Amino acid sequence: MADQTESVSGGEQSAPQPQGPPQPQGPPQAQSARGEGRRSGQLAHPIAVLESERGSTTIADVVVTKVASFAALEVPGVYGLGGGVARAVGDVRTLVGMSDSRTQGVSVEVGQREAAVDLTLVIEYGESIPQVCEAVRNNVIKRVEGTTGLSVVEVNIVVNDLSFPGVEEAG
Amino acid sequence: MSAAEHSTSARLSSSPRSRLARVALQAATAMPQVVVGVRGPRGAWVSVDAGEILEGVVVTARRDGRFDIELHVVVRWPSGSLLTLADQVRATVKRAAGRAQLDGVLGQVTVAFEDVREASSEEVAG
Repeated sequence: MADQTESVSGGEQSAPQPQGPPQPQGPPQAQSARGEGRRSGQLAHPIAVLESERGSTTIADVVVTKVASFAALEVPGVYGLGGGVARAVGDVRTLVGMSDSRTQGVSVEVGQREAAVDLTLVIEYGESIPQVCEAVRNNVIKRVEGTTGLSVVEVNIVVNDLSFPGVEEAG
Repeated sequence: MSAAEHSTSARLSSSPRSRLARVALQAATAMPQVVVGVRGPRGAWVSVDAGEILEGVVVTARRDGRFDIELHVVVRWPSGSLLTLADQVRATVKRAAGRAQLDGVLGQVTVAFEDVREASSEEVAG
């Protein structure tokens, strides 16, 4: 694991890093998920993860995205995923069936053997943000690595908002 | 089933390739961790057996007379290791092919996890 960062932001997370088209896969460990992977939603086809004599196993980006989302939401103190605007737009898109709310606030970049995860969180007021972020990071790494076999090289977290008790929607 | 129906059914399902598609898909989706097969973009991941569209399975003939299978499935969350599950799917498909006397034509089985779906509270409780 490397390059884990977190930040507290009043606005939306910065745009995904630009990157070129997917490249043919090289030696599994030689490529970086951050350097040569793909952003979720960019391509529909899955990634090759494991080849064996009996066949290969592939895992789609959206699977990694949802596993990271489930893992983050399992952590006490996490109210939700996504920023204010993103959540509002995402809610509308979910209502009309254009997207799944489980992918809001989560962006993954997947290589053949590695993955990097960016999360935008809303945290419950009163919780320790560093502690919640560390718990989220640990759980995301445990779940993604345990479920997919990918090595998680980054979990970047933006705390975008706080949720207050009794208030339906923060911010 | 009448003789005519039986004849039609037998004719429609006589291909080992299409029977293998059905056997593999049924075996995989019968597993509790596998929710459903996925049709894929523009229906790219479907096969047809006896006039029925089978979503989530593609069977490709090889030169040696065997057939490679691709299974495109949605997996249920919470899930254990997907790599372990993929091996379990392959083993299940192999057993099912054996029961259907198709193990002689079974080639490689590729398992593609296309999506993950949260188990309902009833499923978790059950």
